[in-house]
Amino acid sequence: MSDVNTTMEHTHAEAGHHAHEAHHENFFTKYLFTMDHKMIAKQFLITGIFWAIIGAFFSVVFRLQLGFPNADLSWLAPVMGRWLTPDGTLDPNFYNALITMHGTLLVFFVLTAGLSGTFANFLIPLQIGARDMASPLMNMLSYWFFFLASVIMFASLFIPDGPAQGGWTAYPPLSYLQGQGMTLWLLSLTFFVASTVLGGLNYITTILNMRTKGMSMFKMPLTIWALFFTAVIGLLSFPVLVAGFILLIFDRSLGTSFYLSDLVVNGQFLDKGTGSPILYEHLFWFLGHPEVYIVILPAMGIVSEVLSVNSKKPVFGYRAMVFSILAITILSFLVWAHHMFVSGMNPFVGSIFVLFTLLIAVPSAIKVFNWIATIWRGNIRLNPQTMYAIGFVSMFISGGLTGIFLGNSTIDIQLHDTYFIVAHFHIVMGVAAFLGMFAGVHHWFPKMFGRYMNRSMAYMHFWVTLIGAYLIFWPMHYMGMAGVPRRYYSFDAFDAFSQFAGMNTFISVVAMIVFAFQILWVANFFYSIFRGRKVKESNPWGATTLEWTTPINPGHGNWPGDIPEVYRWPYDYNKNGHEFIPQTVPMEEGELEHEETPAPEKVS
Amino acid sequence: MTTATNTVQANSESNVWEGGQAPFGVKYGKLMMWYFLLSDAFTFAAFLISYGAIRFTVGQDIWPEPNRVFDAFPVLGHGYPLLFVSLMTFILILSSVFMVRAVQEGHQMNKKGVILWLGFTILGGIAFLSCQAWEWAHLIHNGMTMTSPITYEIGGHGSGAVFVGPLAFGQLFFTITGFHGFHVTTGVVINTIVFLNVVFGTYEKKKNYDMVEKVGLYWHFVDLVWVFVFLGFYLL
Amino acid sequence: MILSDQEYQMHKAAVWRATIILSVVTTVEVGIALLYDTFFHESGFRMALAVFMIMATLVKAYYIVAVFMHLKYERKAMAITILMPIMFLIWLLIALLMEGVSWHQMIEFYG
Ligand code: HEM
Ligand SMILES: [Cu+2]
Repeated sequence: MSDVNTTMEHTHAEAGHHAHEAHHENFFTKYLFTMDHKMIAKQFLITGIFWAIIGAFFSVVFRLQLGFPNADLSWLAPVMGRWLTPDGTLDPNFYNALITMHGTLLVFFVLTAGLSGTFANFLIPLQIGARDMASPLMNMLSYWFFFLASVIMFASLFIPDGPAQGGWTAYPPLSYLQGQGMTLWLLSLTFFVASTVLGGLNYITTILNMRTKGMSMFKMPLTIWALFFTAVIGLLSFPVLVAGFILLIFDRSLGTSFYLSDLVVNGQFLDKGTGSPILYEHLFWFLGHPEVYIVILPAMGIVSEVLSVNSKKPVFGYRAMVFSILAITILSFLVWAHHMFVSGMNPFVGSIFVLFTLLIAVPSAIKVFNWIATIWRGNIRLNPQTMYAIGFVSMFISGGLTGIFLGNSTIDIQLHDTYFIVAHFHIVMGVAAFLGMFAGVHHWFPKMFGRYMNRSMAYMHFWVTLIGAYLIFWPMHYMGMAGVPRRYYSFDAFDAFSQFAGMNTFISVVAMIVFAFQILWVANFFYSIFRGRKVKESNPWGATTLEWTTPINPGHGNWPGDIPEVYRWPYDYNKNGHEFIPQTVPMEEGELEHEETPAPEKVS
Repeated sequence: MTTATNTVQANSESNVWEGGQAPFGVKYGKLMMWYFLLSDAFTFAAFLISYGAIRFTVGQDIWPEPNRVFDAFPVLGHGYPLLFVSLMTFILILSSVFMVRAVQEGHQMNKKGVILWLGFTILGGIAFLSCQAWEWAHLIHNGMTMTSPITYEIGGHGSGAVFVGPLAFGQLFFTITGFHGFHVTTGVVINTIVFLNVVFGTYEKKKNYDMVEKVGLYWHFVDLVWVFVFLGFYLL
Repeated sequence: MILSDQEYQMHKAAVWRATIILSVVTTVEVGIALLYDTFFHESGFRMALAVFMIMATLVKAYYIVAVFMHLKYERKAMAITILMPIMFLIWLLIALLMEGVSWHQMIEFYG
């Protein structure tokens, strides 16, 4: 046991040693094959932004088709080439490819790798007081596997068959019937899983083993708790997806029939025996559902932190927050089949899944109440990150409520695979997670780049995004309740849906405006990296956590001297007449820990 | 463990979570290996559980009888149910035991011991893989592939009445034992690399044989998975 | 972490003990499988056979994890973090086996 402690000190000393060597780095070791967690975080972030632009652009293109059916898009020919039919409309197959890529890119490449890749890498060592990740080498590999997955996915856009067209869920037999695009899609996501597992192992062991002196588990900021359980979820659910993919790959290329039964395709009978596509759905959603929490938990952690810092109040119910993250983690593995109520699964098993699903509302609601209680009567600083964080809470409430509808299998029979689902998950996961990500980037931008992001642009972006998101997705609930199915290229053939033509046009127009403002945010991001206002003080937001005790531009190894020790929990705001007390300040004589202190009557 | 060590542990366990130390008294590398294996266990479990689901779908009536399918032994021919797979199982268990011995000798910093036992471990792995190759070749020779069903004579070899099993059996068998065999193969490769490092004294210079312990965990895991594969395909 | 000679011998003994248990259990498993095959094939005790085989497998798994992989000697908290997640697999197993039965019935019903 003692030898473990000495080895830990050894690694610390080693990293400190690196800090002195920082100036020997060249371009390749500093920006490309870097092992510094902060630089790897930026690599994830910028790659994520790249994919976000592409994925969002795809959505604009298919929204054009939905809002202006059969419009002449020949002006897009330079980008779209042969995916336009001779009369300039969008090829229906390409429509499917677009929604598939949009979903895959945003769920996996942006909101998983881009979000937890960025913040786990950046925040874990800084906030727990470590020089770097436990294994910087594996950390670097994690990014480069992600990069490889990205390259393959990008390449699949340019092959003759076009990219995968099976939706982000890639259900067989549809995915069985597809060409090379699907092969590349599966290959890319397999590398993606390798990246996630490498990253996750690192995050978990770093948090367990590398905390600085005094940083007990219950002194960790909620961001770290959230990222910890995110990594746990990823580590346990992605492998099941891989198993599902391997069987799918065999079905596609070795002629097996795990997921296929006797099929008639194009009038031809395929004798495929007793496989079941529902099996794939189970294996997929065993990842698929936890995946939505992989996306949302880091955002939740960021929001808790941002709200507390900027309302200068302790997080309300810190332990309740931790235990609800734990509860969400556990429950997220028990509910996957609520995506499959109408798949033909056993309805009795389905009803057990209803029970578990509705239980998730409890920890989710606890978190929502705690965020509201955190800002309640706070002395709120309405800077962009606070706005984004409040926007997150709003979105999460709106989308979580529709989740409760969907969790009831009887109601879901009507709503499944309609625009109601599209509305539900874009609000609760898509937009909410993005707002959390924006909040995080604004909050830690000074630490990342030593500059601030431009505020006015951020406010504009915030309001357009928030209002735009509601305008886009709220009407979709009504369309869904009227039965409008998702993933349809055109509704021309259905008289009943013609009433929504105008609404579709409206949604598409708003979507384009919102897209334009996302570009504005990206412009702000890159502009601010180089031209933003410089950070002058090392703790610009008055926060208590350890990352703000590093120099303004921390080098490799994070702290030039010793790693600071921690004496108190991370949310000592507005205590004993101090606006904030950093975690590194020792407890005063007779000072009570937060949990022992009676709640303050009123905050000025 | 002796009482003395127990009290030491109890004393230190009250504040192991306070930061500045590894709460499980385990270095991060070993911890990572454990969690990686946990994650890998989920992959295998997904395969084996899918196997269960498909087998229930097909139904017990037309599921092949393992004692008929796996009844061949090299040279001896047919009529020896489960004999060959028992041999394979023993080889793998023994190989696992050799690995434990290698790890123990590593803790004692006994280079010669590690070389000896790790060498046996690798030989065991290779022997297992050879057996598996023979078994696969035999089954394929008898007509079972990913796309053609298993067949055997119901009353044993030479009885005439032919049973034709479901396609799913061969597909699952080759996929799952293949995935396991893939793990064994990687294990043998990694063990060999570590073996060379032991021979060249890399760990002696480092003053610890942690690497042997880590690959040891992986190797036992492969054995552990085999126990369940054995259950699914050969015993049930 | 060099052990005292006494502890070293103890560890060695534990390993050989586990080896013997594993071998015996495997032999018993195979033996019972063969006995069942020869004498009770038509008897319909399949369920009992399955339960026995699963139990025996779990015994083997226990010895591999606890002794070979040394988990018995690690701190309890660590063992818990590794073993608890296995619960999720149990639910996956139950759900998918129930599904398998139901798919079978569907095939029987619809042909
Ligand atoms: C009270 C909590 C929630 C409940 C009860 C719930 C329930 C459901 C149900 C039953 C479905 C399936 C609907 C169908 O396809 O017919 C669904 C879809 C979905 N939910 Fe939720 N949900 C909740 C919260 C969340 C959260 C927090 C997220 C993400 C952060 C999320 C993301 C999704 C996604 C992405 C889909 C659609 C996946 C697809 O089919 O492409 N949900 N939800
Ligand atoms: Cu779900």
